[in-house]
Amino acid sequence: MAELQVKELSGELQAAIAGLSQSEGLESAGVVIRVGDGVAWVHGLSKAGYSEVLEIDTKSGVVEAFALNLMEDEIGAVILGDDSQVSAGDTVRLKGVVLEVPVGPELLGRVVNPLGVAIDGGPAIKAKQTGKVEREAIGVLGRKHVHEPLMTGIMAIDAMFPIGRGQRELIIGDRQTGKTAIAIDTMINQAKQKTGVVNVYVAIGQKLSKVARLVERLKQEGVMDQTIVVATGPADPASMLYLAPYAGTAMGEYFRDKGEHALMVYDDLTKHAVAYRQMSLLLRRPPGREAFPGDVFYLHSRLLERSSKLSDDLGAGSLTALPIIETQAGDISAYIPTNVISITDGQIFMETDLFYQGIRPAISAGLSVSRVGGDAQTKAVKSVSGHLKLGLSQFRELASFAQFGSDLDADTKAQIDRGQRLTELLKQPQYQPMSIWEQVASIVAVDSGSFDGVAVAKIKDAQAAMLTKLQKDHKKEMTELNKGAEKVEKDSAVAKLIEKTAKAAAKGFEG
Amino acid sequence: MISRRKLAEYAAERLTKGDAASTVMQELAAYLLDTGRSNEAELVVRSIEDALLAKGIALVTVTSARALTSDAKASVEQLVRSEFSQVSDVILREEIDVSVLAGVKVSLAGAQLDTTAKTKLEKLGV
Ligand SMILES: Nc1ncnc2c1ncn2[C@@H]1O[C@H](COP(=O)(O)OP(=O)(O)OP(=O)(O)O)[C@@H](O)[C@H]1O
Ligand SMILES: [Mg+2]
Repeated sequence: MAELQVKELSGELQAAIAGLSQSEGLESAGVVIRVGDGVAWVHGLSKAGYSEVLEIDTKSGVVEAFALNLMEDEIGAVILGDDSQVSAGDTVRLKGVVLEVPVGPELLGRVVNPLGVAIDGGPAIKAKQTGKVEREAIGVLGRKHVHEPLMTGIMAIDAMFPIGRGQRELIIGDRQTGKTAIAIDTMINQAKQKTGVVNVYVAIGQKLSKVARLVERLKQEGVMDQTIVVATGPADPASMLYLAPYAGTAMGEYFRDKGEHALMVYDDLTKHAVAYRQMSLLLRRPPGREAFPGDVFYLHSRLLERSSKLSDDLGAGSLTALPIIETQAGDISAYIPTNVISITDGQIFMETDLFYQGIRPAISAGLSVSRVGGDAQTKAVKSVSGHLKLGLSQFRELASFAQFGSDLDADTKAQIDRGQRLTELLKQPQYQPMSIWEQVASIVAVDSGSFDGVAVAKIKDAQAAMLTKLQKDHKKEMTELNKGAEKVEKDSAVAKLIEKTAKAAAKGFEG
Repeated sequence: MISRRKLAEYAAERLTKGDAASTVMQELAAYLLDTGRSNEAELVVRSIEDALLAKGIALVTVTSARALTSDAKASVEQLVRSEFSQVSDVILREEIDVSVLAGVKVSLAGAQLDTTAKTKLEKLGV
């Protein structure tokens, strides 16, 4: 017990009391009673509200914190600066504002931390506005149903699980199954198709080298100009990881509220929940299922509720969300996955098996769903893809039977053949989002049987040949088709044109 | 409201972990002041001494008219140990007070031994 430094407790305590009594404004202020792990426990300040900013007077100046855990007689506050500067006995005042971050066009093309501070080595960001990190979602009256497409450029999604502006579509799957790739391609597509949709990519606890590579790629693809990246690394304090998606959402809401359209990518909310759990342990909230605190549901519901399609009165802007969740061995019944599934309007489920069979993107036809995107689907795509999902799920079922080599009747064999070609067709490399006309033409080609003679392994080649031909010889029709506004009827002129071109392109790839 | 015993246990815990007494007392002061309980300071300190004693640490104040010899200190320590078997550490604080005349006053959490001439004389009504 050599380190015990106790001599005269009474004198120390009386002196401390005398010292503190002389400091001013104690009445309206709280006081830090203990501090550690980036959290300050503050006594007093009973008027503080959730996420309100506190100012701690330290010996080396004011350090800000935000109130998180409001208890009857004390507040757990997350320190936004250097926690080593804060010590017990420091006076704490309410700043009178809730936490806000810079928002606006000045952030486009930039990589920032959750406080909106540039971390890309570029000049300081001088935004004219700020937005609330925690904000109430817009009520029903301020919303409109989802009705405009948000094209991902990924044929399997746009055709089978269309996403609309204002929708919340979860991307879920085990690690390394192409989840991030889906989100990135969707972002790239917004630039390729010149949709004007602003992307906000929120990296939660991701290796910063990975984020840097991503930003490089986005620049190469010409998307960075309409993108904001909010980045937190694994070494950042849990509080920063916790803040990241809310801060990013504030940045996206700026565009939504101006009548524009923004796309949020949260990569990923599993790490977010873990950061919250870590923080909650520091803040001593009672843990619940899987040691997550009981309010973890609210953590993600209040985040995702902010995505919405606004009413015309509010300017008709939209905020679409693609949250990402990582599963363990495909288990979607774990606590966090079930929660987020119940909050979102559908999910794109990535299957490890498909991924390793080379079926990429590895989207499960059976387990994926989009509950509100149907109304928003581009007319042209919708008119040709109505039966794809069913056909594909049936095919995967049949194909597993066929493996056992039983005698197949002609019908079943035809269905399997078509399914194989369709599966092949829906394979799509990364960074190559497809436009509307390319998607429609590809589906029509397979669906009309024009590729029935093509060897399965050569489908992609035949598809490429057809698209090149259409682009070269029928630019006008394809430009028109690309508007997507018209249904493509089975024996319409454009369907016939595609079939003819497809059949011609199929030659040379027969097998 | 956090009870005095809780506060004391918390403070004792921190002290035994090696946190500086000045820091712990600063926090405690802040808390007491903010809750309008600064008049409880002495009582809290006593409770802390109790809590420390329960953890085997005896904070002992020895009051005498002259500085004690090391022999005298050793015998005070011995006395405390024989009275409180759970004690593993004895921390002596000396207080010089000429008014006690002769003898010593040993005080620690919940116990006191007064052999000073002053008290004896007072008891005699002198
Ligand atoms: N459509 C695709 N075609 C070919 N390769 C792909 C495709 N999509 C993803 N990949 C590759 O698969 C790997 C995993 O992709 P990605 O990083 O998107 O997965 P993830 O599920 O986000 O992984 P993590 O769990 O590590 O975040 C990467 O090397 C990526 O290049
Ligand atoms: Mg990823």
